[in-house]
Amino acid sequence: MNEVEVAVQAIKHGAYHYITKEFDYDGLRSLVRNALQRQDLSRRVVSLSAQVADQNDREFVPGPSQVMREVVTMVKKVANLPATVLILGESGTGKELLARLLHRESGRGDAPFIAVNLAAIPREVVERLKPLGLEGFKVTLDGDRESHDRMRPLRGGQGTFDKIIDNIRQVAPLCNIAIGGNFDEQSVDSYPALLDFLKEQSFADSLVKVAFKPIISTEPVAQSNGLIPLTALDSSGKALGGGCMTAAGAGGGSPCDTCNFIDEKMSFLREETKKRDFPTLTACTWAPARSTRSTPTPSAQTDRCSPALGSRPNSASRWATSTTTDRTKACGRRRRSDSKNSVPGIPAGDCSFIPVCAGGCSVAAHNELGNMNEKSCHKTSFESSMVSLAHSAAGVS
Amino acid sequence: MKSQTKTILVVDDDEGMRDTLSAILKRDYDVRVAATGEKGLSVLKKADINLMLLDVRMPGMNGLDVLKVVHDHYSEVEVIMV
Repeated sequence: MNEVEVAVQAIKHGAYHYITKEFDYDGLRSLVRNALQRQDLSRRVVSLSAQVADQNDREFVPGPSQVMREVVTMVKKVANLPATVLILGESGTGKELLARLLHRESGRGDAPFIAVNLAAIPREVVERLKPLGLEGFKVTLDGDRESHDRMRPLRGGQGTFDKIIDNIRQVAPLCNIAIGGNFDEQSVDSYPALLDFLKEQSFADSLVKVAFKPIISTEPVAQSNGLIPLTALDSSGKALGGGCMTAAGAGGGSPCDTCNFIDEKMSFLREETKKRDFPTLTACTWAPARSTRSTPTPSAQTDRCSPALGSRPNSASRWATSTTTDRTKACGRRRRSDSKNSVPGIPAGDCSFIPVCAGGCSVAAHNELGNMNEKSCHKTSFESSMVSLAHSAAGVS
Repeated sequence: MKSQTKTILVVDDDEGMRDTLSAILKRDYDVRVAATGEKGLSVLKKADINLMLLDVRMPGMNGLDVLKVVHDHYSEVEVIMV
């Protein structure tokens, strides 16, 4: 091929230009500069096209609702003000679409609209919040990559495992990070892989706590006619907050599920976490004090755990092996192992003493063995209590 | 001001030409060099290259062969044939 043919072939195959080896230095510099400018422009076109497509896809449509029309009117009123606007609402109600509308109406519509993902906390946000007292935050990873992404498919991909890990990498040098996670029967076995993954990360030594808890269904427990339910129910048929000391107590008014699974898996994950030298809970969780948390008495009534409410117990008639005073002490003494996370001013956590779970309760361990980190089981007392309850319900003295 | 983010790859089997092109451009850009088309593609795979200065006549893969690969797989990279 001669020079001309080569040049034609080069351009045909997408070359920006063809020069001979007798080039002028300044001419070459100019050519390179122009080629790079064309590249920048091409990239910008691609980016802007994507933004336009995104905006068209996400046009805010108020619909016939009077309330939404009023919201849109208000947005148009405030759009031109040089003020920060806070939009609140449940997930999925269209906050971001409204923000885009606000942006378009603001006279700054030509400027980029940047949707910040608050499933993650950007480094800049951490830097701004640190002077205001931010010490750290908790990140939820529901198992290894596959499990987490299966359990959290929403958020437009913003809360994926990889994005969260990237976020941790960015902010770990700035503040404390605690890792939490919610496991179920399907995901629990993926947690050791998660722990291995975390251990390999550069931020592994920065983690101040790693602890996981179970997902517990709060659906009402079915009650068959004529049978005494194994799980204590309230008058509406909902299971009482069972006070599973190791896990469910923090699970949000959770019905204890005669929870061999939970206790077993909580212990398993705790041991797996400790094996890898991550700071974790050594005993029970610190549950929120709940005024609605109740425990059944021998007379099949329910009784609030008084220490959790900050008052003295109101009756001496209680279950099994512990007196009320013991229970008060137990409640008052129970703390998370990580003192950084204890909440000053709240006298007790999950104070339900009744061992509905029949598992290894740390309060029993505390009372019987003097060490809440030792495992104990008061299934026997649970069973005898159930017999008492059955007698009471059947009217047999 | 130096364009710190732009990287140029010079692919030429002639060492003198590689040195010349590098000398002209290195003040303003990050310049990488490769002596063959194959090595050039290897650099392209690993580094974020913005522009290639590509010699047409080289032993092994010639410039046009390399250009076709770049066009098919690295279409964002600008190429100036030499």
